[in-house]
Amino acid sequence: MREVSVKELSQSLRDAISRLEVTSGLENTGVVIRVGDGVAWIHGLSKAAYSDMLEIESNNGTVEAFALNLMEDEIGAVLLGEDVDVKAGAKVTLKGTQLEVPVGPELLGRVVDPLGRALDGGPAITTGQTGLVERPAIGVMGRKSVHEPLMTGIVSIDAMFPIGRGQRELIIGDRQTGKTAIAIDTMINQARQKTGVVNVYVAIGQKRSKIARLVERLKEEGVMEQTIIVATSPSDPASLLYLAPYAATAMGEYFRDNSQHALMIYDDLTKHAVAYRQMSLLLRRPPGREAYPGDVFYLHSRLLERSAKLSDSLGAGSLTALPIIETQAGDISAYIPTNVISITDGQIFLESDLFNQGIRPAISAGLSVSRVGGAAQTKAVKSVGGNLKLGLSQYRELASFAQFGSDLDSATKAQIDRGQRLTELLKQSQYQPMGVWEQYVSIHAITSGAFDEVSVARIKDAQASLLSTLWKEHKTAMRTLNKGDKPSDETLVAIDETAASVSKGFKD
Amino acid sequence: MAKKISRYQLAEYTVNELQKGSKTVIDEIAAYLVTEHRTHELELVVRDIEAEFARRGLVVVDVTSADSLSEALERTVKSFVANAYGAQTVELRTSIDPALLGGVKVKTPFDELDGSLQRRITQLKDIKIKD
Repeated sequence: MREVSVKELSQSLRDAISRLEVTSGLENTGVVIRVGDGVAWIHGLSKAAYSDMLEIESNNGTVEAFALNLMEDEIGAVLLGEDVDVKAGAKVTLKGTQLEVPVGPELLGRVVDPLGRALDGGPAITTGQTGLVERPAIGVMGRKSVHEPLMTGIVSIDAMFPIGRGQRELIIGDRQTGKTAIAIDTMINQARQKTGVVNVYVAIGQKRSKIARLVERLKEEGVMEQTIIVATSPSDPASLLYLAPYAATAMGEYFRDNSQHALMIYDDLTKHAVAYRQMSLLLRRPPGREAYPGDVFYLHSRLLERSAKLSDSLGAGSLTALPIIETQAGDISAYIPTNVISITDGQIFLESDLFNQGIRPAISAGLSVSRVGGAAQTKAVKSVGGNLKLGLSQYRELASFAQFGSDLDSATKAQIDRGQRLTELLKQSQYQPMGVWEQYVSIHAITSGAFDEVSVARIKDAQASLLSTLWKEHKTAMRTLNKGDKPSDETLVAIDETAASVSKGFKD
Repeated sequence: MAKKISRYQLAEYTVNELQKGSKTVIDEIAAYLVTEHRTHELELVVRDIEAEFARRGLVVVDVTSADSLSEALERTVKSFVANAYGAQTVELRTSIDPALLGGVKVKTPFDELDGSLQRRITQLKDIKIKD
């Protein structure tokens, strides 16, 4: 290697700086060849990289775009604004940056678009930081296994399919089966239980009226102060629908990386896949199964992999994901549902039949699963919810068999009776999430047999009476139980005695 | 069906042939574009040929100014481009646009440098609006 004297080094640095100065001000430029359907084809821009931001001159200022197809002769770029403003021949400048969105606590309580612009009529959002929309997921060593519960407040989920902080749990079902309702209740529960978890709700191609109703409801419930809503409507360009979950994840990652906990709700990824299919077909990428492009799996895997529980050295923050997928006629073996099922750590499957029978939330005990949440379940709920899933699945199977009217032995009849009561108990109204103590007491009342004498029709009344009596007479014990630990022997005796006395009042 | 030849390949072939001293290559390319119904790509092919020349050290630069260029300014532009791209030869294609008000606009096959007074005024206006 050539030896460099201090004098030469100084001269070399000066030469390098002068070379840099002489090229400053040069902008890598290209020209729009053709434009349409939200996609611009650009000649030039030899230095553009995948996902680089571009600026296209138009009559009304500039329109932003990002490069997605890098081909030999031209670049396919997806516009972030209206394509009617862009004309063929327009100058395109490479910005040399990747897409970033504002992140930080300033976004809490706001409704924004995927570029972080306010949609709620409030003041413009100025944050101290920005986050990369496309960011690689955290590595193996930066993670920790899921061990803290993220209570949804829905008894059947917290007891049978518990969700932990950092988990990805899919909510899947046909239209009008209560998928969004579960997500909203989970958000409400974070405020009721004062968990401090920040909610980020991503509306992908949702009607604006639906988003407005959601915002109103969240305000009524006092949840909006700890919630960010990233909204896109069906009339937005496909590029914005495509960006929405990634941008929202960047916003959620800010909290995760600052030792806080955030909950992402992607409503829904079916529409996201459809928007990406539209973009891909317009970019002339080869269509595959159901006309989706070949990288549709990567589309969702790279998004959901960003949800994680961080190691202690990284601050122990977490990002939990509740993606939503809409199925057609309950077909979970379609392309996108199977993809997302395989990516996530479990799924909550909602059945139309159950929903129509009035069993709400209409959770299928047989097809739902939580692969990692067991380690995060509160001890109290775990102690009573152990065999719930199996018992409920067996009951539903037996119940359909019993419809044929054959004679049943006493053990089967007892199982059906218990199952009927359990099913009735697990019915839960929307916007009524329950705390740990309420869940424990309710399940315990059924599984211990205290409500065996109560008729099925009066189970909900008996449950309400039991909860109100216990809260009135044993408030301190219930508060302790709400922390999640198993109840003490005295508390257990108090619950059993109260349940027995309440049960007497509801006997037929 | 014959595979479509990309503009990049066409440009590379043209420059190779021109550097070998071919006198027929321009006619060949013209015939190819007509036969393949690709005459609408003519401007883009020319740009690609210029870009290929630039990669090989010959940069053709479009210089637009409000007034005719002085010899000193021409020399400055040539040395600027030569330094920026490490080019051995720089050829200028000059034009006058009074709308620029002053300064110059330099355009190479890859980049653009807008040093016009018109641009400065627009930038100042943008800053004023933001404030």
